[in-house]
Amino acid sequence: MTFANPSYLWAFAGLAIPLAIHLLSRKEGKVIRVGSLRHVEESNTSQFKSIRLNEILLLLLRSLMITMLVFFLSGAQCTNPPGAGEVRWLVVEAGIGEDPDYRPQIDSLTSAGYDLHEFPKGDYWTVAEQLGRLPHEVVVISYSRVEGYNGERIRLPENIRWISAEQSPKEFQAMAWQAGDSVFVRTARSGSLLTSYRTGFGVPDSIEIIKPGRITINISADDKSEADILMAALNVLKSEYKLPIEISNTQSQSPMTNAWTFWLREAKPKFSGDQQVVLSTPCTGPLIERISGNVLHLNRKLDQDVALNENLVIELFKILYPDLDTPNVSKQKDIRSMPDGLAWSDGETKNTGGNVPSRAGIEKYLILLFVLSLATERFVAIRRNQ
Amino acid sequence: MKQQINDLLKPELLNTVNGLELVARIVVEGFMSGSNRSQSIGVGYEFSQYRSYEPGDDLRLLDWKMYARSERYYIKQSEIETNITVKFILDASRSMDYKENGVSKLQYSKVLIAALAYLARKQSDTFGLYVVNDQRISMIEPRFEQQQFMRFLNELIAAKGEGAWGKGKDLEALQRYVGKEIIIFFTDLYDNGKDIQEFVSRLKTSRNEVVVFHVMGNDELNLETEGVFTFEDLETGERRKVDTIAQQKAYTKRVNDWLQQSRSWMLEKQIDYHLVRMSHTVESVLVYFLNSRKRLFR
Repeated sequence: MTFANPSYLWAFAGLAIPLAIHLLSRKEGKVIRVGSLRHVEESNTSQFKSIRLNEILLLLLRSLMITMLVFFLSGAQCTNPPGAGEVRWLVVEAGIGEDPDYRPQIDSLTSAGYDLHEFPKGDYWTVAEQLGRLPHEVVVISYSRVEGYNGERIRLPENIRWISAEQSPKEFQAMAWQAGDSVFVRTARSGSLLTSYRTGFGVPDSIEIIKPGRITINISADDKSEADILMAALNVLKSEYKLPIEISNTQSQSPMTNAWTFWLREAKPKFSGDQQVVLSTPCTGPLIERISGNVLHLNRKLDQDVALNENLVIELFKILYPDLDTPNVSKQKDIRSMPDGLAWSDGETKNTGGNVPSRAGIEKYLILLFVLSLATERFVAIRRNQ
Repeated sequence: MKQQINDLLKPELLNTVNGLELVARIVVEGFMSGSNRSQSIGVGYEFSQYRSYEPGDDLRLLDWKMYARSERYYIKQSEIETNITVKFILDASRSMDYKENGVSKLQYSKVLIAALAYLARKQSDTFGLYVVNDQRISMIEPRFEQQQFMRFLNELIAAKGEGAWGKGKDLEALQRYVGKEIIIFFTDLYDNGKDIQEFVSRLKTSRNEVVVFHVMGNDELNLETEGVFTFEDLETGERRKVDTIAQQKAYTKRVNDWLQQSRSWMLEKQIDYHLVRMSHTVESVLVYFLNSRKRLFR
């Protein structure tokens, strides 16, 4: 039980009033002095005892009334005590049960009477919403992975305590590809804060080695500097990552089979190749954008600033070797977690259903009890005086 | 008139000689006005009337001067001097302090005694007062003096309810035979065992007259106040918790039996017993008493 205004508890001193009334009235009652007691007898009948009982009842009722009043003034609230027989859930994300770091926590909670449940890796907000409908307390331990939060952010239901499990950073090989006679391995290091990659020669463990196909690139440009920047970017891919790229700066006006054409001219191309990157009217949006099946637009004129600021090399890599982009294994092993402050909305939430507030005001019961005891007290007091 | 007398029964008035005398006078004059005085006629100092001589009359009573004037025998008659002594005995035990409507039994008795004494003085009777409890017995021996009444009232006012009813040899002084007398005893008859009964029995002789005024409160007779109370004995201080509703019937029966019993043993001893209810006015009690005596002597 908690109190909104504990200072009102001083009013409990008022309990002295009924006690004083009781003690004073107990004191013999009205004394009548008579000449002789020879004709009266000591009354100790059952009726007399019932009168004494009445007095005790009155004392109790009056004390009860004052107690109710004090509770009412001090704003007493009932907190559901952790009692036996109450249903409480411990919900853990799949995999945490095996985590040695969290095993003791789970064990202690289950031995404290929590029912253990597991939910598969997935959409945390949906899970929270579903658990929020339960009429009892729920403790959730989850990895709170970033990719698990999709959709509209909700407020954490009041019956849920959400514990985010922190994982120690792990390294894994995200992918490997062959370039010439050597193999490049892309190693990822993923922690709860970030996932970083580095690339280098290495021996792949259990991942598939991708063999990128040979690409021939044909550049046709009005402006030689544009062609140079493009060439430089492609050369980075070619030399650093040993990707089999062949550049033919042929300025050819005719289509070429099995080749990429970078058409950086004002005039529209009069042919269509396998894959075509066409310089379009400068506009916002991504640097290179796929328009149709094999036509891509380069949305800005290439210069040094654009190349550096907009990561021309990476954009080129993405379109030339889409299968070398972030592989699935990387998505699966990414353990970045969402900070709790960001995961849950602070604002008013949609009513999540029948969650029971664990702290309940008891004013109406206090008033009811007060009125009842007042009525009983009056009844008993009047009967006593009769 | 009756209400006025009851209004006079206040401690501040009853505790002064003048006040008590005033009350007594008002009470007595109230019913004495217009009534004839002595009923019997005989030898005395104060002339009453002449009547014709009849054979057998005492020749000493013949008025010879009258015979000389009228040559007839006349007997000179005068009022008889009533040489009765009235002794008032007041039970001044603590139990007489029992109060009802603000007036205690003692105060009530005092007014009655003062009124009767006033009456006695008017009738030229001698009167004395004995205030009795177990701590002291104060006496005003019967005398016929001018100052007697004031002395009497002073002593009466000084009387306080203390202790219990007296016992032992001190009481023998009261039982001394003086002559023709009336003993008027005011009491509540509350005693230990049969002390009072024995005392009263011994007072009675063949030549005197004993009157007992038994003063009782109305509540005392009927236990009318309803509720649970603590009753305290004025004399012993003993306390009892009493539920009056439950006990009223039994109580009334016990009291009535007791009164009946007291009345009958006094009747056996030829003692005049009067139950005085404090709810009645002093005047009505006196009228009733005097009328009953009148009937007795006719």
